[in-house]
Amino acid sequence: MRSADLLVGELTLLRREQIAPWVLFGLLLAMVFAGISGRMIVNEQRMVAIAASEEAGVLVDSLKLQAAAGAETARSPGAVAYSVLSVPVTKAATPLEGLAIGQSDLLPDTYRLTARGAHTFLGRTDPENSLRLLSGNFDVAFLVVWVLPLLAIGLLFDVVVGERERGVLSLAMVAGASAGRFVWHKWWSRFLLLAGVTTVSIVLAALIQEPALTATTGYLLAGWILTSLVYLAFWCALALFVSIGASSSETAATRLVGAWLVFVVLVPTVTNLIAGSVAPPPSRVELTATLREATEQADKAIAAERDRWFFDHPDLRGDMDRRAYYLSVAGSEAGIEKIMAPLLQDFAQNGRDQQRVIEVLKYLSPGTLTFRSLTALSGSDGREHAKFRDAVVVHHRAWQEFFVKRIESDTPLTAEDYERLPIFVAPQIDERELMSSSSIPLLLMLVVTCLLCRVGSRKLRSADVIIGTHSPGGSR
Amino acid sequence: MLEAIGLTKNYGEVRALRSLDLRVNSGEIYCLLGANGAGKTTTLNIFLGFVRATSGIARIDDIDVGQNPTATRKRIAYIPETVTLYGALSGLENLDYFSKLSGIRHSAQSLRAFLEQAGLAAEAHDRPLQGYSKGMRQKVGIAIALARDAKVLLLDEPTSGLDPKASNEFSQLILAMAERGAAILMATHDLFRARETGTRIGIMRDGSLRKEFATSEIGHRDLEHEYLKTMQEG
Repeated sequence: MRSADLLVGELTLLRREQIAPWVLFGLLLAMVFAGISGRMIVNEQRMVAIAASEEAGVLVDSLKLQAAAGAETARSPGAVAYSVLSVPVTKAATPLEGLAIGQSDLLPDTYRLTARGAHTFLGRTDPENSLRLLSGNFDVAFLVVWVLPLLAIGLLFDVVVGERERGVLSLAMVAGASAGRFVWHKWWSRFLLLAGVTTVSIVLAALIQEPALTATTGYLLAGWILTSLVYLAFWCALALFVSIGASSSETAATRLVGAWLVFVVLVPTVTNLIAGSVAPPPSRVELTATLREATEQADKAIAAERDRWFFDHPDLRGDMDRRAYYLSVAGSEAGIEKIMAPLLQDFAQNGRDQQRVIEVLKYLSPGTLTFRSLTALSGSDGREHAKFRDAVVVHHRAWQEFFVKRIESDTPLTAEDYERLPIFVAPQIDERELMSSSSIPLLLMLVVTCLLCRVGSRKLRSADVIIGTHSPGGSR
Repeated sequence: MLEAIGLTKNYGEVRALRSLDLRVNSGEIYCLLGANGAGKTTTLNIFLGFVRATSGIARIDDIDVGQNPTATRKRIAYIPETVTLYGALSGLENLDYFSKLSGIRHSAQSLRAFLEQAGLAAEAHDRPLQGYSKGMRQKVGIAIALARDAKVLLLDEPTSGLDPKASNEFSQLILAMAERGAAILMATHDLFRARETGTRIGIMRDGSLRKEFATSEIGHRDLEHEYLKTMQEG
């Protein structure tokens, strides 16, 4: 029989069974819906960031005008730095962020900076949307990692054992087809169907995020599709492998669902638990207590000045020695920052340590491996957030310096100074670096997949696979 | 023609077949009787090329099955105990699928003719197989054999679970195929059907052929008596 005939026969069979078309259509719909959902979440975050940025822009423009008009507050670097001006800095938007929300709802995409210490924004712990955090994200990565394996299992769990039970495998062999060729055509037709629908739905979901496909988006999208297909191939190969060795379709289905529970649910959960145990996060209570203590100490240090100066309304006390006061505020902020820095550093380091543990343990689960690759390609993983945080810390130093230098030299701010305010340049996603970091897990999954297929192919030559296992005393 | 010479098969310590000698000529129906584990299915599996004999020779049309299973399979049609096939496909589509698997392309008209020869009513041809009775499915199995123009037919308990009418219809089809010159080897528990259909009958126990009769020489009652006696022998 020609391969084309076998494939057409298989596709007719799948169409007639009616389950496969509905399942695949359901996958397509769910993927598109997940794409829309992801886009909405990302849009919401971006809208908030844009609104905050526009608000800050209006404030800067207004201060610039006031400074040009000689308004006291707008010209005072200390007042602007510590009381008036706060600006949001936002993580660069990535084209496929909506496909994998990743840690975007846990780690901030926006920080609001002032010239005060870094603890004022780095210590922020409130999540973006606690309700969504509770219900989890419905995004394309979730469907790929959690749902796609179940569809592969559903279509392939009985690809060998079911055919044996139906007596079709022996009939096919008598008809002249080798068991291997017969089964592989079945496998390929199902895999290609799933792969086709997965690819089309990922492309559709990506177009929902970014209708104009750029080279970067295309590159990342290719990575996304490749990763998803290799993950799918792994599950299809595992389904074949289990189906070959199982004594009945029920046994095959049970074993595969068990494998799904282990690889997709259990191992990732245990990985997180281990990461949390190996690198336990520093105490938030300690952070708050230390901040309070540091603030009290600093308060005492500038108490004399504070008595003479109403902190929130400096413009009400025009006869003050502004320079002395703001220098003491700067000193106080520096003091608090010095006390807080090691603690904040501990938190940052803890994040890095946990990531390192997960980087090692991710190889235990193809689900974790795939999820990390997909979130990395979407620019929403912990690594991208850490890069953003580090860039914010560097920018914040420049921001502080800009004002403290003027406070120290008692130089009033001019309209031109407002144009020279340090501008935050968000780190951009490096698609080539991402692809190269995703390539090792991808290759590993591919190797395991090939190994499963190779062992499966060998087993398909055995008589037990075609006619069932012989047991002494059984029907012979 | 189908022949076994000194056919032996061991599964580890268990001897499933002990030096079986058997010959089924063209136009003959040879019925193998025996309890579960007697070695009937192992014999069929060796002829099908699914299992390699530990020793001895199995030949189909003078071709050694062990040496060239692909060539011998081309001459065989096989009907297992359960012909489930694909429930979502119609009888016609199943026949088309398995004919194509054999590398044979028949027109829809020829396929319908095979189904009719196999005794499947025309109105059932296009109905999904999941609505077929076991007897109807067996008829599709026969149609597959007819479409392949097989010279040798191997049947593994084909009438188990069939009602008497369906069983009788099945026997008539087998007889018709034998008349066309097919050599037929049928493993069965059905003494009555074996006596009615077979040309010769062999009774197997513990992997060896204990008794052999021409059906013309033995009546139903005697066959049952001989069978039970063989089963009770030490």
